[in-house]
Amino acid sequence: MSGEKIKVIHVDIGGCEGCSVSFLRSLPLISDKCAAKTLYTVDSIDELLENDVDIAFVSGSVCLNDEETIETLKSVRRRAKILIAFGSCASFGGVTRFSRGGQEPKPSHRTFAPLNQVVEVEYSIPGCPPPPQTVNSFMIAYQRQIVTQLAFFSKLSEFKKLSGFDLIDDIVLTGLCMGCGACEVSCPTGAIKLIERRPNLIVEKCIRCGTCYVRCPRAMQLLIRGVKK
Amino acid sequence: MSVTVGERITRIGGEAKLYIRCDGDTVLYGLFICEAPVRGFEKLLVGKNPFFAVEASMRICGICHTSHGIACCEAIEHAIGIYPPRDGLLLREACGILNRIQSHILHQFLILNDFFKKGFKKILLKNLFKALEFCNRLLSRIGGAPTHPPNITIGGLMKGVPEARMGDIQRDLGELEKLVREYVREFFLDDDKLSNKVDILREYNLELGKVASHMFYGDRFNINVEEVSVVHPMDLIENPISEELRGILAKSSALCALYRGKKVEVGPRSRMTIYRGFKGSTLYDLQRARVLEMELNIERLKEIFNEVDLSAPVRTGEIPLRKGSGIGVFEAPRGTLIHKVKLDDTGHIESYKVIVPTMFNIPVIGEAVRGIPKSMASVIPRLFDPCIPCAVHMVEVRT
Repeated sequence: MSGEKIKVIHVDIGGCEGCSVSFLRSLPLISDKCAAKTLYTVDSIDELLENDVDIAFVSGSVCLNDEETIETLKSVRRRAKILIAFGSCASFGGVTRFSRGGQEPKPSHRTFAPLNQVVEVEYSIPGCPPPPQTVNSFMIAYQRQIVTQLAFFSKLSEFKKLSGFDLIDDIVLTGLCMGCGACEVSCPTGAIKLIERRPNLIVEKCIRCGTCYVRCPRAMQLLIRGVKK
Repeated sequence: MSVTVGERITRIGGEAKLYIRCDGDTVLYGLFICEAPVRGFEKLLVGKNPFFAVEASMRICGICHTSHGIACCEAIEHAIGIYPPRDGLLLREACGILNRIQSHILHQFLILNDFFKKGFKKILLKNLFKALEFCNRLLSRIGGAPTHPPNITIGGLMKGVPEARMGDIQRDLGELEKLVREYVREFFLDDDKLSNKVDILREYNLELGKVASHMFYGDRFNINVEEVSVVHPMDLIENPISEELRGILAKSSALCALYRGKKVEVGPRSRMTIYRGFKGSTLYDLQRARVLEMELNIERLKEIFNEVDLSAPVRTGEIPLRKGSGIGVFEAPRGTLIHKVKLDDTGHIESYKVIVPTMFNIPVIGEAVRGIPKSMASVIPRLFDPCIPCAVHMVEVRT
């Protein structure tokens, strides 16, 4: 590809840093496709937040009680042509959906929401954390404009919540499950176990990351075809 | 006194600012203030099942995930009165050590720009990535994933390691050891490759009390958890506080921890000093201790893999969730990590408290910047590898 490389940044707005590390690990894979910067690699924060970029990967859910975080997110949105919710917290709220505030020294930080509740998000890449290879496959899809793959990430950006509970409701209880076991393999906490080739959700282990739903071939077929959830 | 607001710094694990007040070119005092949103894990866990607590507490941090998982399991096991089998504990320790090495490697990425002369960074960067991948593979093979490993659970480990996988594990460990020796030890301890900034770090001492509970794992009996107090950064200021300072301190979203009412250093240097007789009080020695600790950790991993019986059970057979309270202590990459839990009559969580190493180190960073040249102030927080979710700003404070 000739010309300038795609400008990519990664910004974390209050996640656990797992996604930041995952993005850092993806740098050797994507360095031939784009010029990527993260807070771990730059000397000054201005390098990240003060320039216009092609793609911004943002991880962490947004604390609705913290004006500064909301402002940072909005400023990234203004400067990025494409904004990607990177990781489950940014995509669906993830484990921070359970937050209820009340903790010192900032008891007012009560509500955490996915990015698409505050700004427009073009694509979502859920996972807790998404593996570095996913960043690479997204970048390949973006560079080559592989429509089916991009449509998948784009569809995910429309959801504000997805979890094991949705998988049970939409796929298992409706009889659509074919027992492939993709959900069991993909669950980052081991909250899903197949019993008689049907997923059983151990509810106390589900952290609402949505990975199982995203990996379920049936669920994705339905979503991409535009069936309403 | 000149007042410039401005230089903003990155490359630490967290969103924090360093406020400094200078006399000419020398820093008089500094305040390290974390400003990331509080996700409130302690409150989030109330009423939940202890198994959820393990998964959720691993998500407190994406860098020291395993350490949180282990400390949480230890606290709950203490509360319900169970003890994991020997081999489960050994493999759990291996996961914790791998997490520590993983975090130390990540830290090398963050300080590269400060530590090296030009010409060395590229090769180092390439090989650090390689070392990180070997470490991640090892943690995946034992813990189930390189981040937030799901095999860490109450009563030991979810799954043991199949005998057939041991060959791969030994091979990966050999590669990791080689990379750490050739690219961490040989680079970070070689004066010819290090930058001028390192020479400056060698000139400044930091001599505070040190706390560590174990060299490799963590031991609640080696520290008195009751003597750890948690205070707001505002309470640590002895002189009357100006309005501006009050405003800055009020922004802090992290509390500070003291041991026996005093500021103490936790982390690799504390562990090495207390358990291995490490000597060195300069700021550079913080990094030297970290490098030496990485090597020791690899040696310990070899010991564990030789000792562990892969055919033995790795998890307690019965896990009775019931009323009780417990304390879990683990030596996380950055220092002593404490989880305290209280379970109610039904075995659900009644209260939860986490004291992370960075809470001890926040006031220590403030001490460490005293007297150093202004241009070096931004380097100091990185030396401690504070873990706060990521931007440090440095702002001078008006009196």
